[in-house]
Amino acid sequence: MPRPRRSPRTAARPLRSDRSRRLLTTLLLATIVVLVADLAGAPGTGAVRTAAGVVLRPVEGLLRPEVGRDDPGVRGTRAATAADTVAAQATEAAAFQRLLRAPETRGRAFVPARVVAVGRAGSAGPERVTIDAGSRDGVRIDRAVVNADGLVGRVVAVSPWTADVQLVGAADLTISVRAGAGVLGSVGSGATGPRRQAPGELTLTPVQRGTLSHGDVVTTLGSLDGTPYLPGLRVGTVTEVDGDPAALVPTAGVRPAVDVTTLDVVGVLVPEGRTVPRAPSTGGG
Amino acid sequence: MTTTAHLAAGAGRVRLVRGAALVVLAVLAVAVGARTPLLLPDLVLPLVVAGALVGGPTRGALLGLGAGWVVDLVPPGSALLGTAALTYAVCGLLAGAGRREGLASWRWVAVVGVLCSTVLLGGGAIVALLAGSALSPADTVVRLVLTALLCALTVPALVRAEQQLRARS
Repeated sequence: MPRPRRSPRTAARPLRSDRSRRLLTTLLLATIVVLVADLAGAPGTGAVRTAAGVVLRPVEGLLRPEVGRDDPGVRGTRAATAADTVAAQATEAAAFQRLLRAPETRGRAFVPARVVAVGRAGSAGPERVTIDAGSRDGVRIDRAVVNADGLVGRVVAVSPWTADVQLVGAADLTISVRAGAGVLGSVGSGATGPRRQAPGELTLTPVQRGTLSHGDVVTTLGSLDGTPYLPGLRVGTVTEVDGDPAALVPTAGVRPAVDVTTLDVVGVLVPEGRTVPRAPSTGGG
Repeated sequence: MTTTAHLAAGAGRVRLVRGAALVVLAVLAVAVGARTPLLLPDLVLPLVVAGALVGGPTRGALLGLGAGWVVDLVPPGSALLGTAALTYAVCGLLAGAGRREGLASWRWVAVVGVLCSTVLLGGGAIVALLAGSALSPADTVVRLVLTALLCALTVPALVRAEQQLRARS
């Protein structure tokens, strides 16, 4: 009796189907592993992309001819970019000219710089910025930073090519000032003093009772050897005088001269120590 | 040559042609998509659907997985590697489950194509939502309609071509 022979096709069929099912499961699992690895930011997936790019970029190059330099779209984009660059440079140059004409820099040496980074905002806006000038440019800690509108802040940290500036209005920056008709005092963040000021405003605390009024210009008093502040830098204007009769010295709200949210071109003042002694004067009355 | 060898040779040729077509279509989709603001249908899906309709669910899923990996890897590539592979694999599995003996009717092929387009575009939308990327529902719907149309128009021809390629050897 002949043994029933199984044809090679029927013998191969289930085997092959089994094999492809196993292959499918393996590949699916591998795909899921790669997906999870990519999701988790594992380092290997970058290499996979690079390898695929090496293989498939030539195919892309065959199917997509390079855009010519003289393509009207490319030329238009290029011209628009160039125009934007020129406009940005013109804006910067204008800001620098304004800084040169500002009273803060008149007759004084300063290092021009641009703001390149803004730190985390505090309760009243940004409190620190980074400028693109550092110790190699002659910037030192505790130098005053100004722009065309007035005092911006002081340098608190320096690296070779950049420096960090603490802005006026920061929580722990206090400036001795002269306001209006010679009232001396100190200006700090709007959160200091007996009364909180409006957002973005500073608090002026006079050293004694004086005549402060709305619109008085507040300027720096100047520090020893001009460090950190040279005299006469504009800090702001008095907007509101706290008229509490019980207060020993009434405080005032000051609107900063500089909008710290739109800083661009600034100058770091270089103080020059006095070398010539002052000659005594004689009254002629 | 024996029947098995014939079949193997035919399958090998089909695999080669299909792989080359997949790569070309995936690259073409990227290249054309970068040049035109128009919404394009998915060019790879008809191949996957046609292959799965001939080969069955396991082969279909394998084909979809491979095609999806090509789509994932063609520069600039997917945001998350493997998402397209899994979506196309599901499409291949689904289309393979719709395999019928003999010549499938045009209507049935169209139904499978619409289903697979929905799975593909829906999967893409779900991935986009989970990844938190921008998603335009209107664009997705338009692409779905275009892809379903493309499937309905091309899949019957592709199925026939594949069967002929397989038989001629």
